[in-house]
Amino acid sequence: MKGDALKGHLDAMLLAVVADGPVHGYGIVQRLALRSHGRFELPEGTIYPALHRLEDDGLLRSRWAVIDGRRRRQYELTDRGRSALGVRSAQWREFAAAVDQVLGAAVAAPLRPASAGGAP
Amino acid sequence: MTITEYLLELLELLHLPKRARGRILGEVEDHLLCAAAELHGSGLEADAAEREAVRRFGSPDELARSFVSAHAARIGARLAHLALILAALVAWVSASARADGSVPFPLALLGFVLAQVAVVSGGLTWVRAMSSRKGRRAAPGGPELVLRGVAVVVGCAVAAGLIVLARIILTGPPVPGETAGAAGMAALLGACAFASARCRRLITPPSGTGPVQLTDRGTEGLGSRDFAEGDLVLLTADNAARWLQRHAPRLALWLDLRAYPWHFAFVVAAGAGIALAAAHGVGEGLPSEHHLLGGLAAGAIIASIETAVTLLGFAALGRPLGLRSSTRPRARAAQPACGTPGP
Repeated sequence: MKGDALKGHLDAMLLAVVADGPVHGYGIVQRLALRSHGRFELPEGTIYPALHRLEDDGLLRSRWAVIDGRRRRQYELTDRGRSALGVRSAQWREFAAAVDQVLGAAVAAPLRPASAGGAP
Repeated sequence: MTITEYLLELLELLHLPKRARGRILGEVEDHLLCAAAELHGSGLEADAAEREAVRRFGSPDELARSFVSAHAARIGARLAHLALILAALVAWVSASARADGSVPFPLALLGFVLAQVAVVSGGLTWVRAMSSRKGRRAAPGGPELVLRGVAVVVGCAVAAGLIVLARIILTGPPVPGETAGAAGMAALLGACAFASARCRRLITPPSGTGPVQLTDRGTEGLGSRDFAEGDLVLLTADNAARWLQRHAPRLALWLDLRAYPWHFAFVVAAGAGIALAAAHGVGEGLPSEHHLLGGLAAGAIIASIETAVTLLGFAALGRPLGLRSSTRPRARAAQPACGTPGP
C-alpha cells in the first residue's frame, strides 16, 4: 500500500502505536510494520514531522532518555492524545463501515457492462 | 549515500533554529543507526545496510521541507497574534484621536479608515493562521498569506503613526491614549518586522531552488500565484453558507462567496455602514422629532461612505489577502445529460 493512501490517517495510526507505551521513533516504525504486517510502503522519515506536529498540538509529549546506552527521544501519549485517539478511531470505524456498505452492495450486485447502459 | 552523508545533507537543508535542528538530527541519526544495525544483523554488509537504511528513510530534501514548512506555520501563528494586537492598537490610537476632538477632519477620517482596514486584515489573518494551525481545513499557502495580511496591518500602523506625528505638528501635544498606543505600535512593529523576516527566510530558500512546498495536511506550494486566491473565502464561508442554505436557500445562492464574492462584499459593506451609522446615532444621541429627517440623512451619508470605502478596500486588498478569486468563476464544464453514459 503506497504512502499516498495513508494521507490523513497517519496521525491516528501514530497515536495508536504510541498508545501501547513510551517508544522512540524507530520503535514506532517497527510497531507500525508489525501491526500492518508490513503492508505500508511509507518512507520511514515521514513519521518525524508528523510526530513533531502531534507534539505541538499537545497530543504527544517527548523527552530524551538513555536506552541501552544510547540517547533517544521517547514519545508518549498525553491525556488529550488519548481522547483524540478515541475520537479518531470512532470516526474511522464509521467511515470504514460506510465504505464497506457501499462496496459490499457493489459486490452483491455487480455493475452491468457499459453497453447495457440506461436505466435497469 | 551513507548515514553521515545523509545527515550532512539534511543539516544543510534544515534552515531552523539550532535547538530544533539538533533535535531533528539526533532523532534521525538514532533511527538510521538502529535500522542499519538491524539490517546488518540480518545478514547485509555494513555499507549495504547503511545505504538500505538511508533509502528506506526517504529523501532528505522532502524531510527538510516538511520540518521547515511546519516551523514557518508556527512563526506565522505568532505573527498573526502580533498583527491582531497591532491592529487593535491602531484602532485605539484612532479612537483616542477622535475622542479628543482636536484632530483636523481629513486626518481623523484617514485614521478611522486605517483602523478599520487594520482590524479587518488583522482579524482575517489571525483566523487564517489559527485555522491552518488547528488543521481543521488545509490552508494552502498559509504562511505567505499571513505575511501579506501582516504587511497590510504594519502599513496601517506606520500610516497611523505618521498621522499622530502630523497631528502633533499641527495641533499640539498628543493625548494620553495616543502616546501609549503609539509606543505600543512602535514596539510591535519591530517584533513584526523581525518575525516576518524569519518567516520569509523560511518560505523562500536562499539557494533559489524555488519556494518551499508544503507536504503535510494536503497543503500546496507556497509562493505560486494560483495557490491561495479565494481560499479564505472557502474557509470562512462554509459554516455561514450551511446555515443560510437551511434557512434561506435563494439568498444563500445569491451570496455564494465562491461564485459571487462581490455580492457578499456589498452586503457586508452595507451592513457595516448601517451598523456604523446606528452606532454614531446612538453616540450622538437620538434626534428629536424635529431633527429626525436630518438624522436619517446623516445616517444614510455615513452608511454610504462606509459602504463605498469597504468596497474600495475589497477591490484593493481582496486579492492579496486571498479574499476573492483571482480568476472569474469558471463556467461549468458541459455535463452530459442525466442518464447519458459518460465517456
